[in-house]
Amino acid sequence: MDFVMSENVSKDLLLKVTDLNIEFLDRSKPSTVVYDFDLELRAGEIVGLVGESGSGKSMSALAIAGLLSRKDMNKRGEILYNGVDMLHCDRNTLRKIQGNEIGMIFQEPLTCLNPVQKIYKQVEEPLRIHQNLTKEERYKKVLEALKGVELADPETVMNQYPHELSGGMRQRVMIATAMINEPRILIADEPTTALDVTIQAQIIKLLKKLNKERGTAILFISHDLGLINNLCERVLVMKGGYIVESGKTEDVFNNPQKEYTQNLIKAIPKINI
Amino acid sequence: MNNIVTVNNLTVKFSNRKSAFSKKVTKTVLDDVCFEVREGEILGLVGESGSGKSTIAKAILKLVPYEGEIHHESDNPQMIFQDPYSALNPAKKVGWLFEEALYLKGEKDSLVRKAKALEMIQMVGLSEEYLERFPRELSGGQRQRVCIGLALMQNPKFLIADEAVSALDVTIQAQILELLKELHDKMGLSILFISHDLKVVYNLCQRVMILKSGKIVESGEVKEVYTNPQHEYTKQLLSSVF
Amino acid sequence: MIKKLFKNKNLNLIIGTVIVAIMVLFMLVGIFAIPYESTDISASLKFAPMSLEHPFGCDNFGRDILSRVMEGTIATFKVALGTVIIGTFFGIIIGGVTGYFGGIIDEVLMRVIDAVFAFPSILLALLFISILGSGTYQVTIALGIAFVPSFSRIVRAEFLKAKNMDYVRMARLMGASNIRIMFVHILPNIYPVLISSIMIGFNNAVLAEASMSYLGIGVQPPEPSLGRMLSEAQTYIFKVPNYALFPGIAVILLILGFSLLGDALGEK
Repeated sequence: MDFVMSENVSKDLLLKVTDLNIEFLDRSKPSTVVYDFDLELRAGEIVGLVGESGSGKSMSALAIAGLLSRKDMNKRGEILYNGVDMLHCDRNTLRKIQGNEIGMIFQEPLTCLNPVQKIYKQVEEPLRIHQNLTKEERYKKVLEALKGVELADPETVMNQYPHELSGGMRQRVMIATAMINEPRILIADEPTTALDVTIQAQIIKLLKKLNKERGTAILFISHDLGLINNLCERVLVMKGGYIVESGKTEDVFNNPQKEYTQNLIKAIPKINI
Repeated sequence: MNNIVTVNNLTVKFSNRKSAFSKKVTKTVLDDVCFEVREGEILGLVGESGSGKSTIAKAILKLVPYEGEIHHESDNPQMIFQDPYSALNPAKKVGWLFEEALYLKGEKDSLVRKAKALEMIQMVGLSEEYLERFPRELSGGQRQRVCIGLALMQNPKFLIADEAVSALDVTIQAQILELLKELHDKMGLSILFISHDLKVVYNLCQRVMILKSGKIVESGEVKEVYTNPQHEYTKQLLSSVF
Repeated sequence: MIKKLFKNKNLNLIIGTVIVAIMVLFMLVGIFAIPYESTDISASLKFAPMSLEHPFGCDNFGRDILSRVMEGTIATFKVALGTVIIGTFFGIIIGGVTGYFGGIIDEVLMRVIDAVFAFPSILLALLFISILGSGTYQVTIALGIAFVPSFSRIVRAEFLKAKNMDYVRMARLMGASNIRIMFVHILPNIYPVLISSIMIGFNNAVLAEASMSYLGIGVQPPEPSLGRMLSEAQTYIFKVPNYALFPGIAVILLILGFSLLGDALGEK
């Protein structure tokens, strides 16, 4: 695979979210889950989004990925990618972006993979949709992608079903699928929460490597502050639908301004050796 | 110090038939595990998924068949489960659950049961009105508090906490750990604390055992193990912590 | 709880309750203030049209159709209720034991149930009737037995799900006996499923009773039952449509009311 992106890692603006509000209408009274969400994502950076359950972090991520198409909600604001407002554009415009320029990986890799399809087919799918390649070219690309996520034996994995793989391998396959079209943005929603610590460390290392080599911008969503601290350059802290604090990870961690952030940092168990 | 639980040569095998006519497939989940829980200590048990750590808990509580010797000093060990959503009977109120624990222990006087339930709900940091609530009306942290109260209702000497805080948010996790510590000090409990989270174990436990593929690869004082890990696997685990 | 259900504007519940209330009222009138004796024959009233004295008209023997529909509904209701009670009672016991304990009892009992289940309920009930003889009680017992398999399967599935929940483990750790765990701890959790399956079972029982009586077994003449009336009316269906119409409406309302109610209560 050619890494054209890595040569011109410019700090240009990829994605700009302004005043994103998401409101559910299906309850007896409307409830807002995300208030005035602002985000700027530049090429090649890793931004962390931290919050506890119910803070609205996953909702914001789904909106950015263009996956909030339910009719029973009210969405206001603007998500600008390449001059396209992803929040209000039509389905066809969105499809050209999804899986091609914005990839997404989720928490539970088992439910994201189709249990009755071989891995090869699933990794190949985005190529079939977005690119016009011959069978051989696609095969080569899939092989490259699986090698790229450091799967030990890509030829064997290709012909296996999801249930034959371990959790870490499944998440690697998911990353390969999300990265195969070399998207400019990767949204990772708690990608390591379901994994063991040693596997988690490997996946984080892999994400860092992909970010560095290909310049893919990553929006990393997690409840684990330790992880965010290790991985991200910038961080946004969310609580109850609001962004309560944002800034450089170092600054936020060493000098948290808001009480909630302070509590959050205090709550992390620490090992002092 | 006396041992409250002594485990010698514990081996657990699961055998499974795919159908009534196929051959049995036997899988060894725990292989010759020996350890003891001392009176009044919090012993950590760390392992990744599939290492058999939950099976140890189930064997101690006699919920799975096992080979080997498990010697109990306490007569009614209790357990706190990982998922507070399935550990509380959804059809019953919190107060009923608390009183049921006493009823099963042989307390027939309903006034005494009510008084003790009230005492316990306050001890786990909730107010009286929570006795009248159904589990679905509680948040995750409140449920875990109720689970802890329920487990302590029969006044056990030994408690097993299986990933008791893994499903909770960090701030709630910190509160629940604080509560566990407090109750441990107050009631002189011995706790076997099972977790995959090395940071939590470091902050809560005095001693720790590292389990891998059904074998205990390392054990000792927490500070000792964390600063000077002997086994390759322990080193790998510690290096993965952020 | 009931207040809450109504507050949610559950349409199924409201319509179901109204229909069931109407049918219950209808039956109560039948018990306490029936307009005519349902077996009274009068040659002069043969096929009398609908009038103020006989709102539903009269049948081929000059009997008042309204009174007969009232008594018929009561008879059908009784059989259906008995059937459901027998089915639920044994269903809970068999399903509970097999689901909770598993193992060899489960294997044996469930294979027996499978064997019983293989026959259509009506055929099975016919088989029992050929052994027990015909009559209202015999039909109730026969239908009841025929309904046990479906109930025990539903209950078994729920117990299987519940027995691996942590709250059951917790109760066991505290020293609760198996019987107590089954009936005090687990059973309340399967009420929603049980209620909706009881309602569905009730509907099937109404239909089954009607078809049994239609076939001439079950409630014996001259006592009325909805199925019997439909069967007798079919000869005159073009001449006197009201004879078939009203028992038919009674069957439909009975089933509709209870299935709407069952849906609403099962949803929660």
